[in-house]
Amino acid sequence: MMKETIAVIGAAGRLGSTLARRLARGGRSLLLHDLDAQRLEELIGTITNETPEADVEAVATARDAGWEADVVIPAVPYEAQIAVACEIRQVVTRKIVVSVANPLTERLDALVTPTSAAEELAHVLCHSRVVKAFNTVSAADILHPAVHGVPFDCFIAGDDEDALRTVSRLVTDVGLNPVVVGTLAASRILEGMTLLLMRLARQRGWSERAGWKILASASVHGESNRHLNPEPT
Amino acid sequence: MWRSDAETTARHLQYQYEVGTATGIRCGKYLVPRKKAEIQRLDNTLQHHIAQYITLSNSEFSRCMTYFLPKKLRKRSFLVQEGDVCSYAAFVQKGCLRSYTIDSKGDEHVLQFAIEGWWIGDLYSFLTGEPTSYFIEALEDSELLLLDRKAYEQLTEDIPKFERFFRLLLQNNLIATQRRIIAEHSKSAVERYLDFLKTYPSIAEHVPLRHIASYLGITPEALSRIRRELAEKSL
Repeated sequence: MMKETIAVIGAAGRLGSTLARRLARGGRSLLLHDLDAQRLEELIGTITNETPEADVEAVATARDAGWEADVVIPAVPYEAQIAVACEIRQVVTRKIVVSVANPLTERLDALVTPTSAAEELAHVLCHSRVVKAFNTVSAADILHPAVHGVPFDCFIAGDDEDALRTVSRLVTDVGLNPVVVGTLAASRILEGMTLLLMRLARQRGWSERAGWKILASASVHGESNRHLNPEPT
Repeated sequence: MWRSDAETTARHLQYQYEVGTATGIRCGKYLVPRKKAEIQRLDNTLQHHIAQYITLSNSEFSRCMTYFLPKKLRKRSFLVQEGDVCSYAAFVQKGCLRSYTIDSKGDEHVLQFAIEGWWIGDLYSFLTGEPTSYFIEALEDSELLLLDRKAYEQLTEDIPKFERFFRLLLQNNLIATQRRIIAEHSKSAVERYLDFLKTYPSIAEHVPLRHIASYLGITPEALSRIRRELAEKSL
């Protein structure tokens, strides 16, 4: 099998760097790009210290990183996602692109789009398989993905079954619990959930390590919540 | 939590500045830039290749490109290994790959090389979903366009001219395979080597001799001897 290659664009940022550090443990190839070359170099140093066997490399352009990768994670703020999408769009046809952004106002008190960041990304990357994930968890959650041994839920939305399975596997590898919620349009709900969590965190003075966990008992048909989590591949 | 990372935003706004200064094409409500990098098309090699078999309008060609997954594969990386399902037919835009099998003694047998403008894959595994017995390895850093089974079906349904394209491709492949079998039985190693140089003129310079010897079904020592004899003759 081709060694799975993941590109993280904006890798030296808060979410990008923690994702890269966790994903480096999975025996895959990581291509990292960031406009801040020095911070990127520091990150690669941190990763190779933490995971000596990591296959990780800095790539000069987002386009080159996207071209070589199978899965692309633009870990950039909402304001920059379309610009990054424009740079990589020609080389990510049919590839999985993970939308992690939350379209929040500067005051972080409202959403700025009537649709969702994920759908806007998919509009530009109309020949790629865009999947929403990692937007309901913070960088701190990814670094410490469990509280008292219980992992945070990480909600995933997308239109392509194979892509959902692949991203679910990445979520599991990071240490979070993958919960597939539906098609990409469900990203609107997921982005709203982040807004709600931020409001609550602010009101109640929670730390950065707060996240979502769905509790569900078995249904009357004896089915567990298996449907929330696709079969591992 | 999730506070706006002002520094990161500022860094990525540089992208937006570039976008704002580029002329572009409209994609929904967005202006998608046509930058130099974009004009440097990924698909020239494929376009020329397809034009040898069928005529496509520009819009048909643009549509056909949406079925191919662009992939860079580094030297010594594998597209597939024995036991995997060969999910892709790979068109080589740049670089060089080889497919080979490994026998019970551990010896490699090269089946095919693919250079710019050629296809490579395991048709049996691609069509049946059964595991392949091939290894397909990049001999140089390569740029590929990958077509999976679903995309292949969708492409031929969307643009029926591709039925003819793939029929001609398979036809040529069958002829080449038959010729190779006949050559193995009726031609000398020298003749097979000369045929090889004619078919793959640029490969001989890039590929280690042991791979060429393996393709020809002879030992590297025998190939060295043949090359020496041919060089002496040409002198």
